[in-house]
Amino acid sequence: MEEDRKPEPGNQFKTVGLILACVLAGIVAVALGFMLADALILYAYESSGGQPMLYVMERVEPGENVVVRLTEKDFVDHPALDAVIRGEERNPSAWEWGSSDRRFIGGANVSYAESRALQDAYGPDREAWVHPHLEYEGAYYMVVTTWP
Amino acid sequence: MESGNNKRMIAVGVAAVIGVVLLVVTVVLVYTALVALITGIDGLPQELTVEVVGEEDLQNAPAIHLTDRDLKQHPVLASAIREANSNPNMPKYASVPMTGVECLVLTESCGVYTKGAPYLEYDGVYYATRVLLH
Repeated sequence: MEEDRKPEPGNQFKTVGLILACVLAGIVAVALGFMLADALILYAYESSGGQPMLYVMERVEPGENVVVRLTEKDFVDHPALDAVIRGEERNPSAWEWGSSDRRFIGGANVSYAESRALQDAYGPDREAWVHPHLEYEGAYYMVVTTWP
Repeated sequence: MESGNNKRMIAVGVAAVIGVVLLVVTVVLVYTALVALITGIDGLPQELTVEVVGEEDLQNAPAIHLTDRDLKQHPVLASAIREANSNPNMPKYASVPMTGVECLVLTESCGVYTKGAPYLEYDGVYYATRVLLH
């Protein structure tokens, strides 16, 4: 009678396999959910008619902030950044070094996806809130983006 | 016996599929709701007000001459100027909402949020600007 109650080894494997499959399916479902939600959000914003912008400001000195040296790869990956820093969208304001040691350098229309990519690559660190300063040919730049 | 096992397996499979679909839908809903809440937060709501002023009111105050490219790069300013010009009231003015980032950028480019903000001139018309915080 005692031996009858022992679960069969085959059944134990089946149970473990089922639990593992459920865990795996759960992980895949959560990942899929995030991807789907992300795509939906981007699609909704891109169809909203809003116009996100990329703005670049120049600073005299980077101060204590992290300095990131811009390379050709950055400009290839982000053509809008290229256009503002060294292209046709460079349009330094007449309000030279206005209220502080910053000045506006230029801006460009970007897509929502590009706005997010620029924010992720060059925006402030979300924990320390340190704004990286991009160095190119001896000048220091800050990138800000809008998400209307 | 075999048929019972098969039925049980089918029931477990259907339940698993429903579970996965529900999980995906829950993640999508929660994530989109959170993003909608977070993206709405961008500091205090602000408004840019522009008012048409006569050239005689300038009294040698500094003025920044705006080009078409400036307005293309500052859609908020373009929209405020457009609305002010279409306002039938006198004096002509308009207020448009803007985000903290747009305020920062306009301050660095045109000094809108500074003491003694310069006048802005576009197409021969002069504008005084003001930033309102709510």
